[in-house]
Amino acid sequence: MIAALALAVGVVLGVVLHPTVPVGLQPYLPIAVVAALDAVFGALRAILDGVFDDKVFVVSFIANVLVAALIVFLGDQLGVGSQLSTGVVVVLGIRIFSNAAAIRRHLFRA
Amino acid sequence: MLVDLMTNAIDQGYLDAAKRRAESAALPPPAVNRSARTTTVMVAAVLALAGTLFATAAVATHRGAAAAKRGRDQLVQQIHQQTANSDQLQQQLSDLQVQVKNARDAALSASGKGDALRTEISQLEVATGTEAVEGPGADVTLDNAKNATNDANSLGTIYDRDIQAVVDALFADGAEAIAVNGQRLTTRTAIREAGDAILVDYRPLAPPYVIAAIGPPDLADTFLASQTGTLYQNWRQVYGLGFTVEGSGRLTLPSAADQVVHYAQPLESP
Repeated sequence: MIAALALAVGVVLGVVLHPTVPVGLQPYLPIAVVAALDAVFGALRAILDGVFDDKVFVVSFIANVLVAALIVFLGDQLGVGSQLSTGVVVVLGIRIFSNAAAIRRHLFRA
Repeated sequence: MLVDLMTNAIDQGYLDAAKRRAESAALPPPAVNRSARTTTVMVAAVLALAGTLFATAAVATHRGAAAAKRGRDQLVQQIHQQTANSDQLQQQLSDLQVQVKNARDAALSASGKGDALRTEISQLEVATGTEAVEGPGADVTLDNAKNATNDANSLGTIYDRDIQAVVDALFADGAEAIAVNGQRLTTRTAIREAGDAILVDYRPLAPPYVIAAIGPPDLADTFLASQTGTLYQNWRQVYGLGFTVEGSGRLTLPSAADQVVHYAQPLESP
């Protein structure tokens, strides 16, 4: 309950405050979003599996976002930024999908 | 790796933490669960952060698209503005040319010798295309076939060489002044193609191409009977080209801009 409320508050904050993203960080924003989505879906599945842990969630969220951004940053420096971000999106996308599938199985038993 | 990704999608950390909890459950619980509130607050903070991140990304993407659209609109507006500007300057130029012509005529008509000179200039201007003229003649209209594509090999498309052929044939049949879509042909006018556009006097024209020619009153019939006229009538039937020839009792052709000669110099008169 608190979690859903916090998420909604965050969205409202983002829409209302219009935080400006520095130009240098803009390429990493979409990757950070995908990583955050992955962490959120993972947490949701963990809750349904009954193994959720606050500390693991907080650490995994922050680490996911930072590592994803770092990988893309490294790729940019090496000249393979777009390929690496595709890779990150693919890997995280697969994880999001399989976590979403597990959530679906929990909720609908199907 | 992909299989591992699919089967172990859940973070290993959650499982480890659950195992640890299960082990510690055997022990008596800590007296004060001081960290429970802190961790809840942290989870809430992280989720709020995630929400902000999502919203910011959405807003940034949206704003980027809006900025791109704005830039494009600005360019389009600039093009319109500059086109209008250029049209205005063109208008101003022809106004000034009329003024110059009138002033010259007025100055020349002061004396008998000047009068003769004025008549000569006027005749030369008709021939070179720098004076508006009227007279009988014919309108030849060329247009792309209905099913023509922009393909370079399309047989139903009008090219610069078609206009050149018609203009040449009209001159051969006695035309004295010709304008294509209102662009008067002068002694120095080129009919050529750049990209998909046909340029006459460096101005792009859009189909249909109307070639108005002043000449003998039977110019239309002569042209239709000529080799070029017959050819295009055939092509109209075979390829569906738009091709019509109409005689006209009275045509008015505009003047072209004054021709400035930079390099050519007249021979010393004998």
